[in-house]
This record gives sequence, C-alpha cells and structure tokens, in this order.
Amino acid sequence: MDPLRILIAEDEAVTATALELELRSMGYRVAGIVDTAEDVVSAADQLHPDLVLMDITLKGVLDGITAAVAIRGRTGIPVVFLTAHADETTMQRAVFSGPFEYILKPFSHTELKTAIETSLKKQQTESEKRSASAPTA
Amino acid sequence: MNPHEAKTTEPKLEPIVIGTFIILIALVAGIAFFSDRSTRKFFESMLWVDEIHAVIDVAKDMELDLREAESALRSYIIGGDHLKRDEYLEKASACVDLHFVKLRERMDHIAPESGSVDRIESLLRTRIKLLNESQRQYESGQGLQNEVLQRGSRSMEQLVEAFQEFANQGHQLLTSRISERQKEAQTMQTAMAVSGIAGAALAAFALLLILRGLANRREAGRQMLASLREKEVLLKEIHHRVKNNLQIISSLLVLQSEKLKDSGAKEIFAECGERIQFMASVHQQLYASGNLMRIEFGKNLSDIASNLMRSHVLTGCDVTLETRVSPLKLDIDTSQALGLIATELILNSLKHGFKGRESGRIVVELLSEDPCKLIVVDNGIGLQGNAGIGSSARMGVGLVKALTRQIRGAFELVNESGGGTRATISFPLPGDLKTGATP
Repeated sequence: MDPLRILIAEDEAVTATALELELRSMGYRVAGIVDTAEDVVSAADQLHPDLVLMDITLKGVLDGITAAVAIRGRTGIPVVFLTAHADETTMQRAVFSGPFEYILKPFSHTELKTAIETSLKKQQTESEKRSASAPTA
Repeated sequence: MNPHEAKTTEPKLEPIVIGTFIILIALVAGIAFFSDRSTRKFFESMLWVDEIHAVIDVAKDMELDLREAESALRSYIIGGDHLKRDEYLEKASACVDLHFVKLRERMDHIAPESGSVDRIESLLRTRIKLLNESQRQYESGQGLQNEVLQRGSRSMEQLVEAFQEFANQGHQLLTSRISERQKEAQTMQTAMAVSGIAGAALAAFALLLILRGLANRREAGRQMLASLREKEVLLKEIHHRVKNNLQIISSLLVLQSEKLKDSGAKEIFAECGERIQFMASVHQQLYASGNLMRIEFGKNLSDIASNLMRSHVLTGCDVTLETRVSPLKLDIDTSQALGLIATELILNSLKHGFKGRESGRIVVELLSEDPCKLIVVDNGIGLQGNAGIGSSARMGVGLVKALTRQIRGAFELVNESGGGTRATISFPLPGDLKTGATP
C-alpha cells in the first residue's frame, strides 16, 4: 500500500524541513511544501494529498484558516492546523471554520502523530457514513 | 511626544471649577441677602404708611369728639346753662387726654424726635383754658373778657402755626423717606442685576470647564484604550514570535539529531525538545492567564508528567502515573525551574528506575505547605541499581541540584523502604507570593 501523502503549508523553512523529516519517520510521504495560502489551495487541487498540515500564519494576503475552508470546500481534504497563535479569537475562528484538528507550536512528535491520525480517522469515518447514506443504484 | 505627557502639563480643572462654584455660591448668597433686605424694607414702608393712616384716623377721631363736645358749648351759649359749659370743658379735656396718648404712641413709631405733637397738645389745652377763662370773665360782667379774647386769638395763631409746622415736618419726613427708599431700591436693583449677570457668566464658565474636563477625560480614555489595544496586539505578536522561535529551535534539534549516529546523543536531543515543550507550555499558560506575575504551577506539573509518560512508553514495562497536586500559584522563574526539575526526575525514573521490571508506578506530589514540596517517588530498583542518577555524567542530578539552588530549596534523594527512590525538593515561597498561595 502506498504511503499516505501530506501537503505542508509552512512559511518557516526550518520548521517545514523538520516537519518533512518527522512525517517521513512516521511513514508518510510529503506531497509538497508551500508557504502561501494561495499556493496551498492550488497545490491541494493539483496534488490531491490525503491531508494538509497548515500553518495559520502564512505569507501572502490570505491566512491558513481561509485556505483551509477553501480546500475543504473544493476537495474535502482534511486539514490539521499548526499554530503559534493560542488567543481566543484565532482559536475560535479555527475551530468554527470546519472540522479541523489543530496543534500548538512548539509541538512534540507525539502530538503531531496523534493529530494526523485523529484527522485521518475522522475523514475515514465521514467517508464511510457518506457511502452508507448514498442511494444505491 | 507621548500624548499622555502632554496632558499632564495642562492646568488642573478641579481648582478652577471649585473656585468658580465658590464665587457662584457667594453671589447667590448676596442675591438672597439683598432680596431679603429689599423685602424687609418693603414691609417696613407698608407699615409706615399704615402708621401714617393711623395718625390721620386718631386726628379725625379727635376732631369728631371735639365737635361732639362743642354741642354742649352751643347749648351753653344759647341757654346760658353753666352745667353745659362745664360739660364741654370736661369732654374737651377728656378728648384731648385720650387722643393725644394715642397720637403720641403712633408718632413714636413714625417720628420719635418730633416735638410738634407736644406743642399742639399744650396749645390746645391752653386754648380750652382760655375759653373757660373768657366765659367766666363774661359771666362776672367785669368786662375783662376782651383781654382774654386777645390772648385766645394769639393762642389760635400759635396753634395754626404748630399745625402748619406739624404738616411741614410730615411732608419733609415723607419726602426724605421716599428719596431714601428710591436710593435703596436703585442700589438693590443694581446689586441684584450685577450679581445675576456675574452669576450667569460664572455658571456658563463653570459649565464650559466641566464640559471641557469631560471631553478631556473621554479623549484620555480613548487614547488609553487605543494604547491598550496596541499593547495587546504587540503582546500577541511577541507571544507568537516566541512560540515560533521555540518551534524553530525544536525543529533544528530534530534536523540535527537526524545526522547523529549515536542513539544516546539522539535521546539527549529528544529530551532537549521536551524541555523546550515544557518552556513553551509555561509561556502559553502565562499568556492565556493574562497574569504575567504568576501561574498555577499545579496544573502545569500534571501536564508535564502526563506528556512525559506519553512520549516515553517503556518497552515491556507498564508504568502508571499518579499525581497528587495541590493548587499552587508561583512566579514564572520558580515555575520554570520546578518544571525542569520535575522533567529531570520523571525522566530519570522512567529511563533508569524500572530496568528488568514488567510494571511500575511513579507518584508526583506537590504540597503547598511551608516549605512547599515537590516529590517524585517510584517503586523501581532504587539507587543501588540506578546508574543514571548516581553517575551525573548527563544533565540529570547536576541540573536538578543547580535548579534547586536557584529557587533556594533543598534536594534529597533517598531509597524508599519498600524499594524505589524518593526525590524531594523543598522550597520556600517567594516573599511576595506567600499571601497568594492557595492552600
């Protein structure tokens, strides 16, 4: 079975590289690394990753939450937010924008692993529910 | 220039407003005084007029009574009845007695210094006496009545003069009284008008100052709010930057550890990552609590222990964690040091305490008594077999001792009687936190 592919949206190069290393050690493949909200939306369209790891603060005009909502609406790909923001407003925005997981920076290997697995599991459950409720021909 | 500094150079409005209101109150008191004085003078004038009317009434009554007495005199002249003459004299004298008492009482209120009434009374009594004398002379037939009549004529002239004088005095009194009242009225009108205008001007000035003060306060409040929001944004940015930097350090450690071949060295890098995690969690709690002076360390300690247990699962050994944590608010420095100490002690127990064991238990306690205590106990192999703690080649014990010294505490590491180790850190509460310690 092919490893699951994860797209990284992170504007700090060091963090993005370390993430790539950690994901590989967990058995995932990195589909790509981008650093703007606009790029992550188009990369998600083109690369069809299984999950997007999204920093909330990105370069460019839009932020990670806006990009996550767009990706979720267009492709249904699950998104895990990485954020150093822990203020009430940002967290409320992140939580209410969709069924997204989030982890606070700096995160540990375990936290990253758990968030990715939870998000993928949730996605799988949703897909199964949709399949079960879809009218059979 | 700081806008708040500019505000401090402005004169204070309070003394000006207070001064203005004091003057305003004085003016209102002045108006009240003049108004009271004016009212009293008005009533005095009314009473004075009433007194004048009373004098006129007494004079009229006296005239009527004298006319009534004259009826007896007419009977005497027509009939020559001596009794009627005596009756006239008696009535006339009684009339003068009665009415001059009343007249004098009234005049005492109007013009106490005036001697006109006494003179008129005296002349009137003389006139009656001469009349009586004249009649008696006439009755005696000696023909001396002419001489008495001449004296009577002089007396009459004097009486007319006295009345004239009395009338003149009354007129002068009235004229001076009117003039005096006019002057007083004019003075009071002027005083009241000036007081009123000054009062209105001062009230307007005070109102202007109060409105200006309120506007200044509103503006200062707005500036403070803007400054506060600016600082909140700044704090948020700094917090974001600190956490991002900690993430970068953590990521660098991950990247560098990848190049290491030695598993021991890799483990050290991983432990460094965990310490960074702990520092970030203290920072996070500090930011979230909104209190930069102290944090609830008890909750922090529970989180540290749980995270370490999750990230250090031992192969073939089931280790459970028990936390008995009393709520304890501590300053940031003490919290940071105690958190690092707890990390070292728990890691030591996990890495060296359960070698060859299938299960184990770690108990983490935080006691908020004085001195406070952080205790980490395990039921493992104890110090004899614990190479990690005994040999302080790694940070372990050396770091714990250094951090304990930093918080002016005492470190004790002993074997448990039933097996395992007990590490106790006793530390005093910083002076300014003693009152804030939660029991």
